[in-house]
Parts: sequence; structure tokens; C-alpha cells
Amino acid sequence: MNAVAKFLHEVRKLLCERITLILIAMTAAGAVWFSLNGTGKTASDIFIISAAKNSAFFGAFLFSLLSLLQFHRDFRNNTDVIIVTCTDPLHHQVRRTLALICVAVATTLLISLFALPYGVAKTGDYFQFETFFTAWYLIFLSALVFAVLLSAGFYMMTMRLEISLIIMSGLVLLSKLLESMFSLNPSYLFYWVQTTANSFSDLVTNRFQIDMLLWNRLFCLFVSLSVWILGLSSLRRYGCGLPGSFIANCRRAWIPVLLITTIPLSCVCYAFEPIFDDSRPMDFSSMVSSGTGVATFTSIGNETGNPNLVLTEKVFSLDVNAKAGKLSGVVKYKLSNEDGNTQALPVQTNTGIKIDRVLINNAEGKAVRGETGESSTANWSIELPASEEYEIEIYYSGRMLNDNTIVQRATYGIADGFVWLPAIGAFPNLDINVSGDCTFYGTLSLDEKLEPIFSRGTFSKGETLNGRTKWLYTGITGSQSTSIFAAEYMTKTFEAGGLNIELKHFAKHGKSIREMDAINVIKAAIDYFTEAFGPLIYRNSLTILELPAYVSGGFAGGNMSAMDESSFNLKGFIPAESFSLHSGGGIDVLVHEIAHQWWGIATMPIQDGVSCWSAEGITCYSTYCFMKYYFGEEYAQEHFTDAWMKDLDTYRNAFYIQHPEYLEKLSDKDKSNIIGSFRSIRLYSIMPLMMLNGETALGGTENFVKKLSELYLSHLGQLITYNDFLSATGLAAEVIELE
Amino acid sequence: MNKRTVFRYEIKRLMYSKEYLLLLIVVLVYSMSLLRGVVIYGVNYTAPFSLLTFGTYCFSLSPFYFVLLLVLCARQFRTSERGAEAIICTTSMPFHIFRLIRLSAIGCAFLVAISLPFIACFVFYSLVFDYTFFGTLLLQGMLIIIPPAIFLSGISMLLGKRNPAAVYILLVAVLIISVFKITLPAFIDINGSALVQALSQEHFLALSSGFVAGRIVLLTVGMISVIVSVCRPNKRHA
Repeated sequence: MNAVAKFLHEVRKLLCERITLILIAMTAAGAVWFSLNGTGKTASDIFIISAAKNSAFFGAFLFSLLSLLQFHRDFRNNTDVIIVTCTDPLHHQVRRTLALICVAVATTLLISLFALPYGVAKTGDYFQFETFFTAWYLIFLSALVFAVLLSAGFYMMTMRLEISLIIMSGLVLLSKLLESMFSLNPSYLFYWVQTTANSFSDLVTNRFQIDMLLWNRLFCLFVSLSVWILGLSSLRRYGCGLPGSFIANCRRAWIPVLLITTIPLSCVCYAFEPIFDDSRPMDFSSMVSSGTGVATFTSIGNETGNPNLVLTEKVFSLDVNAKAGKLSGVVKYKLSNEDGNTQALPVQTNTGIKIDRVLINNAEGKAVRGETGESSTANWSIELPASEEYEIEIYYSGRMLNDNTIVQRATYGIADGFVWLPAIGAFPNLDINVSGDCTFYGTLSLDEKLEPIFSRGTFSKGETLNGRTKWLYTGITGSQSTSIFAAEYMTKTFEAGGLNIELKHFAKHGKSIREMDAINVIKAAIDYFTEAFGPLIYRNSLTILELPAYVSGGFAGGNMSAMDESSFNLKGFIPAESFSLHSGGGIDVLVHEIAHQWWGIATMPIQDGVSCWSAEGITCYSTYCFMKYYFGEEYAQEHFTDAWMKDLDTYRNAFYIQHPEYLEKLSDKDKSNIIGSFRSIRLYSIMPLMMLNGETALGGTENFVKKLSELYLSHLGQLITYNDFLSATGLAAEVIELE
Repeated sequence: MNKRTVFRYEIKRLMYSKEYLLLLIVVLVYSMSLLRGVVIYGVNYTAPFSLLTFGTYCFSLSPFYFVLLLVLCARQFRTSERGAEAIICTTSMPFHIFRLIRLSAIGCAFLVAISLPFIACFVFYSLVFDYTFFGTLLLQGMLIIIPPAIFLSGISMLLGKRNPAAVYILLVAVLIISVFKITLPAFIDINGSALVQALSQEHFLALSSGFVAGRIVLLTVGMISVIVSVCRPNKRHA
């Protein structure tokens, strides 16, 4: 019998065993169940990714059990000695492992028979085969394979079923527990079962996340192989202990070769992980928060790197190769030197960008990379000779790296279908003073199917040649940076609130945008809020930009307000039991996010940790006012007031609210967690109800909204505290408070 | 060898077995994590010692209890155990008495396993919240665990005699129902989900007639199955 025949025999034997069939059936049943009961923000998440992640846990447990039972059987039945006499024990274990992996593949194929048509039927137009393959083959199948390799490895090392079972249970559990270890910010490479896949977009490529998953799987494969080969080399030989067996096994050259290959490769894979950089942790001292996601950075102590130099002109030529995920470009700067001496020019780029060449007044110069700063900022320095004026050309190229210090999420990058370059990622920025009349313009070359969006400035389409389009950009005078987004966007233009509004949404979302009548709702909402509270702070125009779901939320900057794709889903995909408007979807969320333009962006209501005041309460109230105006009293009552009252009842009847004395019996951490669990109700439901009390106290909605308008106009660009709110409305806290 | 000695021997075999100890450790570790992660906060903003919170605690532990019970039952149908039956049949002790002793030993080992997390929870209530009124909570816990446990042990003994693999299939079925929290109709509510669901709406121990009938059905079927499995001789030994 040759090796292939022996292997096929092993697979056949395994597939004919009752326990194997039962465990395959259980894994498949689990996958079906998880597919039918998925959760998430997008259709891809709910019907594909979440199912695969949960099934990976279930499958990892079951396949660990199956592997351990298979490996333990010879020992249990006392047949291990017989096997040694008729076959090579190492080859036997290799065949057995490969047979188990074949069973894992067969199980995944079997599950695909259900998961593929189910995924296609449920996600409809949003189905992406790449997402399906990632979910069931990259996440699920890989988890099964790693479970087989690790279980086999640990069993061969320990030769004890129960110890191996405990180790495997611990490892599976650890992968789950990592999700709650925010403070440790564990590397995404350690999530060996479920990975960190989350919020997959229905509308654009998920390449950034898939790249992360590929690297995660590569690292886990090397680690699992290392454990397995270590196990193989520890396989007990007849009459030998562990050291003797190890020496005997290592006489086969391929075992030590594999061992010394896979262990260093695991380390290399960890050390040279290509998605994240070594950014310094951010200093949050200049950040104020609404308490629920709206965060604003105030510019305190923002010092210029070299105040002697002044930028007077910046011209760029940028080429983005979306297929290769890379960019290259050249930027020409004109600088004036105030004291005429030699200077060090501080340059900032994204950590993934390399400065290839520098020309200073047409002479070769040199850029030296310094320490990495915050938020993926690579600091470079260029020595400038003594001169009054400089013309500097910087040639650069590379790919985007991301900051790993907060959450390990790949935000920036270049993919075939979506590009997001931060301000320091698109072109090198000079950390010097910028002249008030500094001109900033250039060209961007991009795949013709992609449309760029710049966070500041204006742009127009140039010529298209060989599938690439040139875009001509003119920045705001006196500035030197802009973020760049690019995707297959569709643009809807309309006027609202005295502004030219451009709604840029992903082409795939056209139907949903039409069905939810988004244009009219956005227009009416902006008009209403402008009329009620006052104009926004933007100059002439506002771009509302749709972002992929993985961004989770949105942001505002320049003339742009961006929100993730879940805000534009007709009904949202989250079940209705969610407390928070932020975690839902549909028209209510869309208006809620627009209202944040007034409360949270143009002004900054901040949480004080004592009262229920935050940007969320006033935003919820504003959303309610608009809904009452647009859809009528009944809709507002059902969607807002009734829900708030229900939450208030829950809050009032909550055990720890009725019996605060019990909180004193708990540790500070538990106490803080319990109080924190009420935060959502306090900010999203109780504060809006307090505002309804304020309406009553001031004699109606109109009077109250007028006071809010005064508050808004007097605090543009400033923080708003609870006391500011009370002073502006002339209300006493006791009059409106419910607690 | 008298019955007491046999019982002691059987219970020692069960409680010192690897499966029992491993599952007991898992149950205890999980119960501790539930106490720290769920019970202390109270379910749906109720008290940590509310019926809903304690019901959820029992409901969450029930899959582990039932797996433990079925694993103990499955032990009785191992090839080695079945082989030993031939020898036991030659002793002076009637075989159905021996079966009853074995079943009692399983029951005792199971009761020890379920009582430890209960005790841990009550100690937790008493130390952290000075709460000591355990009567209703205990009644509720028993209602969730005991009738399905008797049902499962009876059915598994009955099925296991015919085919030992049937016990594992039953185990898989229970796992799927429990782990995926499949809500069953009240009269066959094995995992107690109907009770917990009712509690989350009513906040007091309002037992629906369907649930009470279901518990009676589970108890009756379980008891009958146990009696039949104990009394009916194996074909092999008949």
C-alpha cells in the first residue's frame, strides 16, 4: 500500500465512524442555527460573517474533541504498540492529522451547500462572494484546521486526553475572552478562532479587513504547525521517555527542519505584521466627549515643528494604484526662510510611506526618518542649506499603515474599490508655518471607476487615459492638507439650509436611498434644524459622505459630514430591541446623525458624569421634534416618546436605582459597571424626557426650541455644559429633572 | 457485600471518574463567571437575588448539568460495564436491585453536582447582599432542573439498553436545544426557557398551567422510564 492509498484509507475509515458523522452533523447543525440567528450591522455581517464566527467556535470545540478522540483511541485500546510494528508511527500521525483536516474541509463544503444559497437569498444585491469565502473558508475552515493541529500537537506532547482537552478548551475560551480585554488591546493575530472580522460592508470591498484576516490566519497557521510538529517530535517511542523519543524522532531530518522553520516563521509573522505600525499612544487630554461616541479634539498646545520656515506653495502629483494597494507621488514646495540660516525641515508622513528622493533647489537632499509619533505619523527631517527661499521636491511611495494603539481596526488604506488616505497619508506635510496666501493644488491619478472626494477644497475631472482618470484639485488657500476618499460614489445635489448639499453615497445603495426617500428627508431635516436652531458653520457647501460599515459611526471635518452605511439602510438590520438609536438603522438614525451637526459638531454639549446632559439627549430631542413635524405626532409618539417612557419605567424600577444602598456593598469596579449600565438610558431617554418637561415649563415646543436656538448661536464652536443649558433656557434643574 | 457497600463503591467510582471531575470543574468555573458577570448586575435590571436572575443562572447552567447527567448515564453502557453485568448476574444480589443502586448513585452524584453551584450562589447572596431567603429560589431551581433531569435519565437508561450510542445522540440533542436556547413549548420545556421567559415579563413565579403540566409529564415519563429500565431484564441475561 503506498502513501496515498494509506491516506485515502485513513480518510475513508474516519468518515465511516459514527462519532465523526455525529460531530460533522453537530457542526453543520450549529452552522445552520447560527446562520438563522445572526446579528450585526449589515446584511453581510448578519447572514454570513456572524454565522461563520459563531460556527467557528462551535466547530473548534467539536473538532478538538474529534481529534483528541482519534489520537487517544490507539492508546485507549492498547493498539499503539501493534501500530508501531506495522507502520511508521510518525507517518501514521501525519496521515491521521491530514485525514482530520480532510474531514474539516468536507464539513465546510457540506455547510456551504446551505450557507451559500442562504447568504445569496438573504443578502440579495449585497452579496459578495469574497465575503462568503472569507467567512466560511478563511474564518471557519481555518479555525477547524487550527483546532485539529493544536489538539493533535498537544495530545502528542502530553499523551493525556484530559490535559489536552483542558488546554484546548482554555485556548478556545481565551480567543473569546480577548474580545472583552479592551484595556490590554490584544493583537488581532491572537484571535485564532473567530478573528476580529466585524462590520463587513455590503457596498464596497472589505479588502482592509480581509488583509488583516489573511495575516491572522498565516500567523495562526505557523503557530499551530509549530505546536503540531513539536507534538510530532515528542511522540513517544516504544520504551522511551520524552527526551529519548524526541531524539529518536528528530533523527528524521524533516522534523527538525520543519521545527526550525515554523517557529521562527511564527515570530517573523508576528514581528513584521503589515497592517499596523508602532504609533505612540494618543494623548487624550485635549479631547472632550459627549459620553456616547461624539468626541471633539481641542487644539491646545499645538506647536509648529520649525517656526522659522513658512510654506508659500504646495503642488502635488499623486498616483494611486488601487489594485496594488500602493501610491506614489511627488510634491513641490516653496518655502521662505525667515532668518536665512541652515534649517531642519520637519516632514510628516503616514508610517507606511517612504521618502524616496529629495531635491532642494534642484540639488539632491536627504530625508532622515525619526521617531514615530501619534496616529501613524512618521517624522522625517531634511537638512536645508542656508538660503532665503527654497524649492523642494519630495518623491514618495508606499502603502498606508494604521494606528494600533486604540482599537485594532484598519481604517486607512488603498483597495480595489475603496480608498481612504488621511491628510498625512496622501502627501507629506511640512510641520512649519503656513502662509495665509499659500496656494495648494495638484493632480490625482486614479482608476477610472473610482471617484475621489477631498475633505477640503474643490476638484474637477480631467482626462481619462488607459483606464486611469486625472483629477484636478485646488485646496483652500492657506492650507496644506486634505484627506482623500475614493469609491464608486453616486452624487445627489440639492439645496438645504442655505447650503449646497452633496450627498455622496455608494452606487450599490441607490435603491435603498430612493426607497427611504433619503434626499427629501435630509433636505427637510437640514431646513428644519437650520430654521429652528440656526445655520451650520460650513461655508456654502456641505458634503454628506457615506462610509463603509467598518468605520462604525461617523465624523465631521472641513465641509464634510461622514456616516457609515448602516445609517442609510431602509429598516436597519438590528432587531428592534436595541436601546440606542446609534446602534439601529434607517431613517431615524439618519436624522439623528444629521442633528449631530448642530449638537456635537457645530457646538459641543459635554457629559459631566453627574447629570444626564450630553450631545445625545439634545440630539434625540431635536430628532423627535423633526419627526413630529415631518411624520406627525403619532409617529413621534410611537418611535420616541413611548420608547423613552418605557426606558424611564425600566430605570425607575431598576433594583440598584430603588435600592442604592446595595451598591455600597459592591467593589468600586462593580459599582462603576452597574452605574455605567444605566448611562445609555440616562443620556438617550431620560434627558430627552427632561427636555419635554422643559417644553411644558416654557409653555410649548416653540418657546423651548427658541431658547435652544439662542444656546446654539451663542456657543458655536464651543463646549456646552449642563449649566450653560439651564442658564440659556432659564430653567431650574428641579423643574425638568425626573429622577 | 451489602447494598450500602455497593452503593458507596458505585458512588466513589462515579465521583472520582475523570469525566465527572472535569465536568464538575467546568460547572463550577462557569457558575463563578455567571455570578461575577451576570448575577451581580441582575438580569433586566432586577435584583441579583430576583427569581429572574436566579432562574437565568439555573437556565444557563442547565446544559452543563444535563451533559454531566447523560455522561454519567452513558458510563453504564460502556462495553466493560456491560461485560461486567454477566459476572454481577451470578452474585446473590438481584440484578434489578443492582441497577437501582447504580441509578441512585448517579442521582446522588448529580445532586452533589447541582448543589455546589446552588450553594455557591446562596453563599454569594448571603455574603454580598445579606440575602438569606432561599426558599422560593430553591423551589424555582428545582423546577427548572429536576423534572427534565429525571426525564433524561429515564429515557437515556431506556434507550441506552437498546443502543449505547442513543445516549450520545440524546446528549447532542440536549446540547443543541440548550446551547442555542431553542424555546420549546411549555409542556416539553426541557431547558426551562419558558419559565425564564415568563419571569422576564411577570417578574414573579407565575407558573402557567402548560408549564406545570409539562413538569408533571416530564416527571411521570421519567419515573416510568426509570422503573421500566430497572425492572425489565436485558435480553442477554433473561
